Amino acid sequence: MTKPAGKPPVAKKPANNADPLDALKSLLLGEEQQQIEQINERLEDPGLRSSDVAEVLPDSLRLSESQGQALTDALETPVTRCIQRRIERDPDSFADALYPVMGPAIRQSISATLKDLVSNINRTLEHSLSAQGIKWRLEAMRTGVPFAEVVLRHTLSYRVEQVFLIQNDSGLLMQHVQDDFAVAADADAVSGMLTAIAQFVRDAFQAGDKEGLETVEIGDHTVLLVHGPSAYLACVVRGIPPSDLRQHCQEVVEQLHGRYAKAMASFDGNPNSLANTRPLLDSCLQSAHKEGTQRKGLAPATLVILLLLIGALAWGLYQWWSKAEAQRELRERQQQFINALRQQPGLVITETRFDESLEIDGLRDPLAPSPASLLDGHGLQADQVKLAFRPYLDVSPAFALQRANERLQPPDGVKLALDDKGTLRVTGVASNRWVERASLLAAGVPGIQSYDDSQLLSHDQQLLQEAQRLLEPNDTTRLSVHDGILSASGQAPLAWIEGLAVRTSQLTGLRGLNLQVQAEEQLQFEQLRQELEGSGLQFVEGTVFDPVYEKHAEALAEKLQRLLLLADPLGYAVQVMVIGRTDGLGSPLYNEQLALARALIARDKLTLLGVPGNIFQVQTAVSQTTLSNPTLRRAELRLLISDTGPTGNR
Amino acid sequence: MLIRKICMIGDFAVGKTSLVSRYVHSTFSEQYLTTVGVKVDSRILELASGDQLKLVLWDIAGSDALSSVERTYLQGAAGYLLVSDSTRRNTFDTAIDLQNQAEQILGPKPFVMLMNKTDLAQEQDLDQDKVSALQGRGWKMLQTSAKLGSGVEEAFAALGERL
Repeated sequence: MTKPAGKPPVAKKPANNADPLDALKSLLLGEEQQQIEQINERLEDPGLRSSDVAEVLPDSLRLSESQGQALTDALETPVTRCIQRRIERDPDSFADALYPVMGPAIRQSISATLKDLVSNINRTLEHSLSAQGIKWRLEAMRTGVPFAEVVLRHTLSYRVEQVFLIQNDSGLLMQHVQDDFAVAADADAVSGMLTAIAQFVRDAFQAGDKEGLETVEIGDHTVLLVHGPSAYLACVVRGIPPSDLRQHCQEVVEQLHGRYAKAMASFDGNPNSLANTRPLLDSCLQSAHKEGTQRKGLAPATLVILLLLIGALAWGLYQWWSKAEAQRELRERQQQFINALRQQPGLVITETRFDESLEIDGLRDPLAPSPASLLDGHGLQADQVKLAFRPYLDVSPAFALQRANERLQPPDGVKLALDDKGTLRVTGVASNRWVERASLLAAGVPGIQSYDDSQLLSHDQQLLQEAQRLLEPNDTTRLSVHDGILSASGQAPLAWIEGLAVRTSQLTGLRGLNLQVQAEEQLQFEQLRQELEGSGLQFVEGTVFDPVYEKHAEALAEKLQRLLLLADPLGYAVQVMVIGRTDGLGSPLYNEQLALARALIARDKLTLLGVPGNIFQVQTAVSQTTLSNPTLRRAELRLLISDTGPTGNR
Repeated sequence: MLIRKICMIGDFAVGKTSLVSRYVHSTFSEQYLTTVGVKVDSRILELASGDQLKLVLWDIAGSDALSSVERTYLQGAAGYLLVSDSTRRNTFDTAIDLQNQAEQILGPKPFVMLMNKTDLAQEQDLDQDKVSALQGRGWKMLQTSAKLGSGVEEAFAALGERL
């Protein structure tokens, strides 16, 4: 039924319509019109139509399937496309759906294959190690056929190598299956030739339409031909086919013509249209072993081979495990090595990579130990670790101090210390040159912020300290040491000076003495000398001693005595010339006598006051002027000093 | 890939087998031609459309008339090549006869007429009027030389395109 075009032909109208024809129609065909209207509504409503189709679709499919292959052919392409599209879009869901089916099927297939493999290995090994096996091996070498196939040929009772499904008249190959050992040939040409030969034989012997070539025997091959209405089956059998093989092939031909009659009858040269026949054709690929060739369980040779294989597998596993274990241990040692490097002052790890070997990049202070030198301690070889360290300076106190020690090279007795603030403190005793050099060098050492040598003594300073302690100089005495030579300057007691040589002999490191010290006694001696030189006793008139000068005489005597006391240690011999003086008044003779008298009085006075008399000499000096001059009425002292000892004492 | 049966028919010694040998790598010995009367080979043809077509070539032993067995060999053929010897005028006529017989057996099927041995230029013996007449009837006619290989591929391709 097709859908009518345009509007529905019947429209509802009231019964009392003015159109008499419509009224008449309504009266006569009212019920039918309603039915038509309902049918039209169903046809126009997609929902209703879908519902109708859904209702009958299952039965329709079943009916169509029972009537032939048309439905299958019609659905083949769209269903295939649906599946392909679904797989492209969501392969996982398809895999999930197939998993329950595929898993057991794959396991079954693997199991069957393994059984077959073991069986084949059994036979092959058994025959390989026997005289017959050697004979077959020679045959394989002679014919160029693989040994396994030679064994199969001799051990199989029969084997269907190929099955051709061939269209009767044209000889076109409709389907073809073969086992793994069949020699591949042009199956289309073979099926054509086979058909031609069969037609030739039929024609040559004027066989009827129902008759045909049934068996072809060539050497150890037999071709069984089983005919059907549209096609015939040609089974190429190596060996002697059992009687039931033809029966099976006959059943297959019947089933093929039963299931695929239409496709086979209308075969137009497209083998894909008969791809479904392959399972049936595969069922004809049968084989059977000769009696006695089947062995249950493992053959001894197989067992040996399997044991060898298991041994090799175990050895391989052990090797693999050993290698893996060695690799793990190596990784562990490498990791420990990395940790050790990280804890090593002066080394900074910037990157580590585990590739074929360990690769470590980092920074290294030149004072830090070489990373390569630490390899031995962790059981590593140089080729197991690639080291790439660039130089840098570690300014931490430990490295700064080590660097300072290397740079300054302190002598024995000098110790360097670095505090947290980067101050380098130097203590001890060193040469003058080192002390000067160290202060300059320390400033250039990375990590040293400041330099403190307050606790550092040079040898000269130490010597000076020792000299100070040992010599105990006066405030007026100054000591200094330069290059091991002790210099003394200023003033000091003569005894201190004289004992200097003895006492400085106790100073270690003293290379010499440079004395610029004046003896205090000498100064006193000189002062007394200056005070005494030209001094004298004043007379009033004549030989009358001016009593005013009594005290003066005493002071003069005391000075003379002190001078005499100083003179001896200083090595001086002192004589005092007492010169009596007068002015010019009076006669020269008188004046001469007066002068002498004054000299003697003065000498005696001084002797009386304690001055030894033996140092005095007397002399006169009369003035030639005639004027009165009281200042000339005096006795004047002149010191006569001469050396008696070494001048060094002074 | 579709499979099509093609038959080679023509008089004795017109060069059918040489044409097939030039076109395919033969599986079977040519002795079959003298024993069974046919030799079958196959080759895949690339069509202009890009599709592939497998030609199963039945090289039927030459004769001026089809025997009963040769008639059975023709059955199921999708097309055929009529082969004549361009140096022997009578083979041309035989080919025309054979075409009539083939059409009786197969019904109207595509075919191509080949005038072989064009390499023997001095001995050409073609009735151009007949050739023109047949061409006028729509026959596809090609000149070939199995010896030189000229026109061979084109001949099979021409028939393949018509199948």
